[in-house]
Amino acid sequence: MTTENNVELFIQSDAATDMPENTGISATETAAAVAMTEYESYAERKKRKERNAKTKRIVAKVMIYVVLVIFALWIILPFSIVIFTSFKTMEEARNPDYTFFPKDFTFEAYKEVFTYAAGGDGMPVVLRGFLNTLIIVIPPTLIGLFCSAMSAYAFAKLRFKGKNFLFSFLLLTMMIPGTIMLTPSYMVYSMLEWVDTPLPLMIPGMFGAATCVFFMRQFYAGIPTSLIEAAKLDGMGYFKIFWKIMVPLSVPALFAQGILGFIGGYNDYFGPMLYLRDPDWYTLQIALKSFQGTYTRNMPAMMAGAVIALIPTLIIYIVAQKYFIEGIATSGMKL
Amino acid sequence: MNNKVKKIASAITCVCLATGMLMACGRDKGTDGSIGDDGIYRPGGDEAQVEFWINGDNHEIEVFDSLVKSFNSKWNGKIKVEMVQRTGDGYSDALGQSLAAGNAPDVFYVGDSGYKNYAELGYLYDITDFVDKSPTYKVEEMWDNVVTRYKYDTKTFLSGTESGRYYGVPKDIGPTVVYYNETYFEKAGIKILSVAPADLDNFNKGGVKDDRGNTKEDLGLGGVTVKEKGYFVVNNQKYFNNQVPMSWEETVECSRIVQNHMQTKENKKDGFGFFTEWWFNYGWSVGGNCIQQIPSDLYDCGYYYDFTLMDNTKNYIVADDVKGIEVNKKLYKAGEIIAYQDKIDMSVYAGKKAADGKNIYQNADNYKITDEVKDLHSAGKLNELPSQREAFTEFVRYGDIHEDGKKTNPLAEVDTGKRAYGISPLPTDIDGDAGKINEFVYGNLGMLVDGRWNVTAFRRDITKFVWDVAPLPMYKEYYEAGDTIPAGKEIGDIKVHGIEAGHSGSVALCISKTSTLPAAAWTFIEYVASAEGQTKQAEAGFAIPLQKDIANSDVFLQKDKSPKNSKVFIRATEYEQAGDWWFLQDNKWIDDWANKLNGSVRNATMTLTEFFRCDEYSKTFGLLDKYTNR
Amino acid sequence: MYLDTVQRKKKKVDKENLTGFALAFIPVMGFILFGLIPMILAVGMSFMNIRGFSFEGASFVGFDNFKNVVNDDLFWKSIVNTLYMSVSTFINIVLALLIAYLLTKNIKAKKVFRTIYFVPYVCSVVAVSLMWMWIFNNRFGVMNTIIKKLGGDPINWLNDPDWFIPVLIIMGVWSGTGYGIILYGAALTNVSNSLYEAAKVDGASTFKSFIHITVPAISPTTFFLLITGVIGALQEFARPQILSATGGPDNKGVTVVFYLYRRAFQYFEMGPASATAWLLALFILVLTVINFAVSKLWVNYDN
Repeated sequence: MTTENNVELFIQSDAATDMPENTGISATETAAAVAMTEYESYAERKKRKERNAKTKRIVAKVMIYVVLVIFALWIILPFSIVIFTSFKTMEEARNPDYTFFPKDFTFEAYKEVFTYAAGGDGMPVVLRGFLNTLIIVIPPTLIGLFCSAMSAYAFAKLRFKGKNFLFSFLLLTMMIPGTIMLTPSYMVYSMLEWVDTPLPLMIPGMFGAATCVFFMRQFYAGIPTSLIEAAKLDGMGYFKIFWKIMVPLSVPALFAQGILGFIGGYNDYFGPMLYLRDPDWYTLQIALKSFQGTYTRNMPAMMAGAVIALIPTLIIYIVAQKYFIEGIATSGMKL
Repeated sequence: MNNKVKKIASAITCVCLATGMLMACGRDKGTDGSIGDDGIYRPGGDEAQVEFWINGDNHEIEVFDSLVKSFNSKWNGKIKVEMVQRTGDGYSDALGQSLAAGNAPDVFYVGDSGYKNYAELGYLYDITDFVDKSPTYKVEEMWDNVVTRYKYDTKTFLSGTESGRYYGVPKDIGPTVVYYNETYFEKAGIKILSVAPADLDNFNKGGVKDDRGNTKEDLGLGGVTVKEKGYFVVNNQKYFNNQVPMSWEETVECSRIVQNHMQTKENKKDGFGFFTEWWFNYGWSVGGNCIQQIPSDLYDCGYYYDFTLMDNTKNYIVADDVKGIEVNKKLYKAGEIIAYQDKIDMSVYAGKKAADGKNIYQNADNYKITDEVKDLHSAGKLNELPSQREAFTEFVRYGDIHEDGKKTNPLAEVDTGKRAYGISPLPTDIDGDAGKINEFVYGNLGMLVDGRWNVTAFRRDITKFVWDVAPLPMYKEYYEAGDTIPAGKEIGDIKVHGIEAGHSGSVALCISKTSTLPAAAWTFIEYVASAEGQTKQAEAGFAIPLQKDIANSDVFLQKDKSPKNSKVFIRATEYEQAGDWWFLQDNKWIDDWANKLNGSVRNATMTLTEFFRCDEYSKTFGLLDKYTNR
Repeated sequence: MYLDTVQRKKKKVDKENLTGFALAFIPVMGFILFGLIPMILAVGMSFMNIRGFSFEGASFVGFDNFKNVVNDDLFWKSIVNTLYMSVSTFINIVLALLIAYLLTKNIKAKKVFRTIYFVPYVCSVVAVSLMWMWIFNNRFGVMNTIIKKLGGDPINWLNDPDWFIPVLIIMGVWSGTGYGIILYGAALTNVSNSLYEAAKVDGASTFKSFIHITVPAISPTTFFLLITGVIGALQEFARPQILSATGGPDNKGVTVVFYLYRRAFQYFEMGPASATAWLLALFILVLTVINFAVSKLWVNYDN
């Protein structure tokens, strides 16, 4: 399977990310030293050459920084526009002569968004959306993670009939474009009367995900089998080995997968849009989308909504950055 | 640790599955009663719990909340309505999906672009019997062009006919009018006058007050005969009569004056004088339309549809002084426009029909007026009106002119030899559907054509200026110097006029075909549509009551609030029809060309000539064929 | 004694067999329930005439649904639109490689840069789309303000048929490059340093060694990014739908999945919608097979 090959290639330790460049430089230097002893008379020319090379290197480095900074600005500027707009007054945001910084710094937009309640019980839409998101996303993420890890453990460390077949089968499912399942799934959920409830968004995820199984299998494969043999000699059962040995050893990996799963669910738009029609069940993303209709005139409020929706993911990202990047880099997983 | 985690995990699973089961099981909705011969609900056992989906702004929700409460207390223990708020742009998708899935609520809103389609698909409950029996929902007390549009025949796809059945009742009526910024008008030097055409003679006698409490003299019109014009200039003073429709020329002129004021004095550089999204009051005013139903033996249904948006033959209206006249063996009264199939010489196409045996659709070059009509016109019995195409062009010409030389409205030279007026923003310069309302509220538009549904929002949001409403523009010509003026007429009197036309929106309350509680559901709908329910809605200001007498009472007119000129809504309700999306059972024949029209032509990226050569336009003829059967 | 151990071992293997299968089977079962069964249904549905969302009164109509879809101009238009939007995938790959390569150089604040570049990837598509809609707003947006300041003609980004898809491409590049940077970053560290040294000794310029050593060495990553990127791009829906729920100016926002959504959930034509899904899947399959075939020519797995 080519994907497998690919993914194996991505596996590397985090420490290796910083490339040991000094080795390269010292190698050149040794070569230069050797040359110097041989051609002492060229010493001055050599020096000039080195100076040139040095300025060249500095120019190159500056260029590198310029490119990197421009690219960083390209990422950051749109965000800053959102943030600054969210602190503007409605009138200022609708001024054809756009200004970057707000003239009258105001929290009106946030006040508006945090107090806007559409339902009868007066609960703010964003708050309800946030709670709904947690309710809808957390259980399938945790249960799914558990199932995936168990399955991965079995694939990595246990011998059973049909193992290879099952594993290839799982890999195959990763190749199938989800779009095919859209219409029949909807029909089935509709017949089960799951539409208009969060169930279609929750139940399927609880069985685990192929990508997660795949990732965790790679991880467990790296754990020495002798550890398991020893545990077996101690009389531990297979599940107990998993729970007592494999899980504690794989906490960082599980955490990485859990975070990726959570963020994926938190940001999901298509599923909730299709299945959640009841505003009482709107996730934060759908609530935010509905602001398009509510706040056509109030751009700062819409931007404030966007900021509010972004903050949780940004916090998680900043805090758990290492796991994030590791998870992505090693599994090539898409959110 | 181990056990704890396990417990938590299993607890979560249980909760999830349990809620799932709960949600999956349908609620017990009680037992339906029946409607007796007297039209009154008789409970059938348990309390019937009716689910009602509402889609509206918070204000509307409030009103309906109180309506539902009073209904529930009236039917305490027998019927209970549960209102579910379904806001947002996803409403029609969500409703459609639940109807298609067969789990729709009992009662729900249906927009006028979905009603026929849903009725056709069999999703709506036939309530004709309930309507016929009802003691409180009385069609004869209501605006029949609104109520009877919901009488729909799913076999012929026609509404308002005898054979039709009711699948819904109108929740309200939303006629379109011109909203105008009175503060700008006055600052631009335009005096407001408020006299209905019928009251003009009396007003002209002098000493009589108009609806604003001003006499002719107060307005500086002493000694002047005020003509039936929406906008006019007397002794260098500009006037706007907000009860008389403006002619096309007056609309452009008045818009320019206001726009000039906004751009030079109000610091509204992006401001415009006028904005409308609908060609209806232009085309319909001269008797044109985008499709015409033409009788034909080739079809089992006896007719076919021709796409006549670009019909370039003149239209003819029976002169006001002619009692009655026969055209193409049909009787026409004064002020009636000759129908399409009666003015066009159909024989031109007879040969073609025989030749290929397929559809014969007209192409603009072959359109010919019958000799009969031509003769009647030269005899002075019929007056000539612009063609549908001219009317449509007028509508498109409102758009912005980009003066930088790169982006002039290409309509101009290529198609009509006329430049765009530049009195309206291009639709794309307005952000989305709600954009035009914002533009008006923010004082970026002098006039806006839109429906009654804006009134509550305008009352709430417009604080910086005074606004009011006026009738939609219509086609008019006046006697000018040099005309042969008949006895009893003078310069400035109306020479030729089209008809007052425009569209009104309406949202229906319908019952799902799969509802287990149709009788209880009907009882609620009946209550909403009855005098009591309508009065409550009218008081809140967002709708025109279905009952004519409530509409004409102070409950609706509310003279102490803007708009003062609420009468205009009532007049508009009388003559306005549903929009073209209502003509056939679905919108598949409109979507493509309307998308092109609104996306390209009105945004000055495509000329009209290009428009009716484009695929989206020519495909429509074939699409329309699917609405007939042979 | 001997027999006993054998029996015990057998028992043990049996238990392992059972446990292993049971544990491994849960995700497989999830797929069977929520993937395989719907897929089999989808085959049937694409040959059926279905009213609404129920199989009641459904009938087989042969290839009618496929014919219907293939004869619909909008379907083909949606394919063109989707392919056009997928341009961002290629831009992403080139940009990501460049940035990731620069990040391997001995520079400061490497982690900060990497963190920033990856941020868009974790942001919600709704928030990000709203952000871009505001930036590209015709009258009050930043873009047009800048253009006007520079003396240019404001562009009606979101309502002009010529600009709608370019806006989506810009959005795609902004959101997607970070993912490529991370993957390339990982791949680049694995490129053996001895290769560079050898090249340096041979007198190859940095650019030359980049083209001749780096690019081939990380070709598997490029291939992976290409495959997943194209498959993802072909199923684009959310962003165009948020930008314009009606399909954008001149239907430029109608992607294949958007088309499918419209037929399935707005027109309630599950048959043609299922047919569309299969046509899309077929299209993806063909593209993937071609990708794999061509990959033999340029993807280098020796490294």
